[in-house]
Amino acid sequence: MYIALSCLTLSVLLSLYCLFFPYSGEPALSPMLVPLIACAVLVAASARLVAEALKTKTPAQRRKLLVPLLMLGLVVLYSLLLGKLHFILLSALLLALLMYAFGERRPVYLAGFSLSVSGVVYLTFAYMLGVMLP
Amino acid sequence: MRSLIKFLTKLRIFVYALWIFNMKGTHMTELFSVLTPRLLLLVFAGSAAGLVVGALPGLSVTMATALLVSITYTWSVTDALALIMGVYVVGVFSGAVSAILINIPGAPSSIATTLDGYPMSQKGEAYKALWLATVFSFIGSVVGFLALGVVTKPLSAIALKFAPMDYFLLGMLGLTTASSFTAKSPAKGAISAALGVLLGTVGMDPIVGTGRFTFGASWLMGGISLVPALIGIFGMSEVFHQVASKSFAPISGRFIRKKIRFATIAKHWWLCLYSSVVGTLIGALPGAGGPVASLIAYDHAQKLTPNPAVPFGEGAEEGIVASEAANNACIGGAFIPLLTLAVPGDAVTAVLLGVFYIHGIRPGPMLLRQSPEIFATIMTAGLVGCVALLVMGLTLAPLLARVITIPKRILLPIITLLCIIGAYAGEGKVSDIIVMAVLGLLGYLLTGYGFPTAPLVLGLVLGQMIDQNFRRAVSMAMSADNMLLALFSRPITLTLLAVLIFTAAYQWYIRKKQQNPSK
Repeated sequence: MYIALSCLTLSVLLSLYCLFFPYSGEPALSPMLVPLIACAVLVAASARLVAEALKTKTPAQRRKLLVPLLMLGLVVLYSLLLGKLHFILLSALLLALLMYAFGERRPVYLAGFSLSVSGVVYLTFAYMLGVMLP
Repeated sequence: MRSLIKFLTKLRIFVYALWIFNMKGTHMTELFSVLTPRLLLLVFAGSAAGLVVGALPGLSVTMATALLVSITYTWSVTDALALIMGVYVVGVFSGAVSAILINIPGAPSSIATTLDGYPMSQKGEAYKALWLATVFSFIGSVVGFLALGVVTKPLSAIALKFAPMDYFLLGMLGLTTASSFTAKSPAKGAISAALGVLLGTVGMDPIVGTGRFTFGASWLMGGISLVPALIGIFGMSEVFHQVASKSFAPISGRFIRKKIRFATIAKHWWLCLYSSVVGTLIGALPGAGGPVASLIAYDHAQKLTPNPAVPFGEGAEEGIVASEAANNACIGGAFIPLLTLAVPGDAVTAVLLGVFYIHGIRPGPMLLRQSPEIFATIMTAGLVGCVALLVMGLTLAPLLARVITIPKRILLPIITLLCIIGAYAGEGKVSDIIVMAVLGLLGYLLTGYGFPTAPLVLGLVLGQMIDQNFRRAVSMAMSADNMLLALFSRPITLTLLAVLIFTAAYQWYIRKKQQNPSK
């Protein structure tokens, strides 16, 4: 029920947002046309989910969000620091931090593995595949 | 004796196919005339590069081909084509390697392979899954190239007549089919597909130039790039799932190198042939490409195999057979509109169009007459690439399978780094990393609550095509006296509409039957 209502709320909000796309021309070419149709499908399907949830009275499911959100934050932080620190150093820090968080405690492994993997990845992408890395 | 008769019957079919290929399409002598040691070397070198690039998450075949265009700029066109064909054929297959081993499709066309390949890997059957992917990718590729040699002209004549409404209906057909993955709740499939279409429309509208769903952020005006989105939805979401479940043991410590029996391969011959034909036909339709072909073939495999030994989504062999045969058959199909109409069938052939123009060659109806060696090079390099696929897939790809025995506390940080660099590598934009991570969280939430991610991705891929073609079709029809007649009076449109309605009705009927088996 919680998820079905969230979908319904989201679809209604998106539909309202579509109505504010700036356009004053031929209705058939309006940029809101297809998004509005997609939103209508979202509203109808969400309403059906609500009806199904009411009918079956399924218990509320919960997904663990804290750890994925922390990791998302770490990736965003990495992306913000990407231009400021060298790729190998930044990636080694990220790898070491993640390995430590996932249970690796041997310092030699943490330092050696993270630095060597970052170096190999850098050499492969920057020199062999021609990807521009900071 | 019976098996010998069966073998001879199959051989007869093969000889007939070769006869049709030789008499009605390309002549074998033309193909052998360009088969030189230099071509073999270049194709195998390209294939080795394709194997690595395809298996690395985030590095797409399209990207590798684009990079090769700059490297081969000064080469002769036949050398450039030979190298690129090797990368293309093996790279499309190689996407299955990471799809099977770490649940990250190396290429968009391997999306459907993850659905059964990864569950097989989790059960310790990674070697068997790779074997199946290799053999059926090889067969699919060969069928695709044979079709390229035989049916180029008739198919391109049909594709030439496609109007905007037909492209819209084709997109809708793809979405309807992909939504049918959700056997439990069609509403969840529809929500996922609609969300995908909405994500596909993010950014500047290409028709009138206004921003959509950008929320004032200028970096979103360019839209959501497909590669970061795919990495996020399939790769990062899996990392989130593993991290949230806090199980850091190896993904599968039971990597067993079993002997694969011929019967395991032979029993899927009909599904393989069917999926290869589907893949070739969809590959020949401009814009559709490997992802659509593999998803549609996967859906058809579910219908053709009502009682698989292992259910679909839990490690069914049929899932890998259909997906891999179809996406590799797409390669040959994608060349049909490129060589006859100068319209690329997919992203890689779009890059190849650039190669032609760089070397002063104009693809189109006159190509076969003016530059027959180009067509022969593509055919020969493609077929040699198929052999390279089989050799490398059976010998080198299983070596990559050892990656799954690495403990997750080491593997997950590496996958995270590959996801980040894969998202960044395409366009060098930091914002793509954020898009990848956010869509990873969306994918994690969707899969956790039972929403399928395949319609989401298909909606994202087809969103622009559906949007632009629908608006163009309606706009053109509004100037006519009878709008409905203008939209639906063409035979191709009516056929596609009938197929769409039939598909939706058939899926509804199947669901009703599953809910009430007694009726």
